[in-house]
Amino acid sequence: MSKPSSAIGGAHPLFYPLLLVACAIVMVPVLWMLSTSLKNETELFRDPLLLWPEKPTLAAFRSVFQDYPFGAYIRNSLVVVICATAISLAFSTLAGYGLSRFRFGGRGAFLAFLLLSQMFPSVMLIIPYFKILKSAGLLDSRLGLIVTYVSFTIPFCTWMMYGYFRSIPTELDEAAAIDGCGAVRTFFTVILPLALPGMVATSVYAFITGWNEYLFALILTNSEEQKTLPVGIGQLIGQYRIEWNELMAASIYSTIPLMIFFLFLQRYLISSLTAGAVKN
Amino acid sequence: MATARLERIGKRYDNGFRAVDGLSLALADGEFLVLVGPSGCGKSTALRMIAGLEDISEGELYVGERMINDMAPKDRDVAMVFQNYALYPQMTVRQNIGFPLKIRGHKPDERDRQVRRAASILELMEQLGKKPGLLSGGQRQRVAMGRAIVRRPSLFLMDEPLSNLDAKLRVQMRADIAGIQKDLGVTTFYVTHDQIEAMTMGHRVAVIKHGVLQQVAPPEELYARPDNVFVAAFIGSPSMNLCEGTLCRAGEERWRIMLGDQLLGVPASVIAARPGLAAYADKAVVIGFRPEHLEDASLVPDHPAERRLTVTVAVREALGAETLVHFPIAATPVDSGDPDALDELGGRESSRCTARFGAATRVRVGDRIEVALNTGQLHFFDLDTHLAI
Repeated sequence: MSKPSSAIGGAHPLFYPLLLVACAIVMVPVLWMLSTSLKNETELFRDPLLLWPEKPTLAAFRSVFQDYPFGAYIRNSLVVVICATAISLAFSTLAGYGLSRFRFGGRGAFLAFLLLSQMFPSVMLIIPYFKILKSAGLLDSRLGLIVTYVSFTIPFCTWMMYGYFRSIPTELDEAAAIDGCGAVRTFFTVILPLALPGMVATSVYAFITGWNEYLFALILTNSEEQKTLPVGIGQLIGQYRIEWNELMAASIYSTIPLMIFFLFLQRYLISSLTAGAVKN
Repeated sequence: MATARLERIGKRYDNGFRAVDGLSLALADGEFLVLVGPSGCGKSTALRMIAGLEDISEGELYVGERMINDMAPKDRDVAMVFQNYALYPQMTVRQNIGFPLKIRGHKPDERDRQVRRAASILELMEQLGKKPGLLSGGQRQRVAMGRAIVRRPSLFLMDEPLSNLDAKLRVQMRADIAGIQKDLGVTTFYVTHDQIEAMTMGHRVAVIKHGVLQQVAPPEELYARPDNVFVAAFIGSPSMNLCEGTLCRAGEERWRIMLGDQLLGVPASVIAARPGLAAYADKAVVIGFRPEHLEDASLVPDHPAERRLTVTVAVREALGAETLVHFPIAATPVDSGDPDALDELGGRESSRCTARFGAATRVRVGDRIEVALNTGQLHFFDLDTHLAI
């Protein structure tokens, strides 16, 4: 087990200055997004550019809801992404456990196949997906998007969970077996609680992947009632003009669920949960 | 509590490798049997087959009168202590120890009573609320023990439970485990590579090499009368000196051994006690003698001159109560087959010997000294079969 806390305790003199620079680099676009969203239309194109609006206004935040169905977009995104994440997590957890614990023919080939499936660029897949969903009657539906996202995320999530389960000593499975657990009970009472950090990391990956997905949502939906947030935001870029303040306000809206998701889960993102299980 | 019986148990892997071959052992009720052997000799595999963690390729396994070859681990009524402890890190000590009872549906108050009893035996009462991550190695070890003893199984299985502890703690836990086993009277099958653990803890010790059982006997007998060269070399620390020598008949009732270029007298009683030995007259045999049967000749002036070796000291290790002295003798060394054994000091022509001298010895490295050999305590083995004569 590494010792992150002591590494910070005896920090290099440049540690905090460098951290500040890194923070600034990360924060500047976010602050610029915030500043732009608070400007009115005249301030947007003021020359020289204003760093911060003289008369901050929340008009853009209101107008995205009044002029466009952003409520529906957000709801669609949440439904699609939460469902896709939950399904991916359930399948990848079970698959990862099975792959890490049982030896069976074709296991290595299957793992390689999962990786292989990640190597195709999405533009190559979009027409087949369109045709499949069309024949299944799932075009322009949230269910169609859920199925699509799940098919992207399960292979990689399975690899993540496989890796995480491999870090949990098999002696714990064996101890549980001897203590009286069958395979299912071993999994749910002993191993699954230990896999929580891995499941959190995996769900974060699945959530972000779905939340930011644009291309497939754009092609596979077309009615306003089914569009997701990234597609809705993309529509704010018009042919002749871009409503920058509205675009930025919508972007801020789209980051809020991610932030809530992270705040809620970050305490599980610790790797020391198995400390003390076995002597390293 | 029960007897256990292994009948020609074998483990064969798909690639044809035989980890365990025809292992037959019978454990009496309440017996503490130690299976000992060098690393990779199949001893852990044997234990895991008894636990049900590995399939049994051949042979039959009985606990009591039940044949349990194909029974799931949870139904075997065995408890196991793992080398790495394998504690459940998300559970407290109380929950860890109580886990087997919880799974078997014991009521919480009953469970708590049992956990407390186990914890008090193991002096873990203070730690019951802590998680394993906060415990020291010795405490974790005891929690693992607690999880095993709490449910009173038919059979305890222990897989090198002390090998991850530091030396001092190991000595203490050795005595503790032996004491607990004696108090509870549970039949115990204990696996280790450490022959000191085997000798100090076991009622009987089974020595295994390359998956094949070499000898089963109480520790004293194993030490005094090893069946073959491997057991002779493996049991005892420092291990027995083994080299090729020739047994010479010097006359009626008068025998000598030739060790390298030195001729030593052997008491007639030694020959008389081994009727088979007469057939080896004037032939090469493996001769074994333990370090404690060698003494600095200057400390035993009345030792007969014909039972002294003249050697040059190569290494001297003063241990306080005794001094270990290493020296080569000009006799062909014998490979005992222990993969963990040290390389021989002098190649093919000379054997490395170790002697355990009294602390009063004055020998220094490079000294040419006389060593008194107690030839009444010699061991003889066939050169080809390595079996005791």
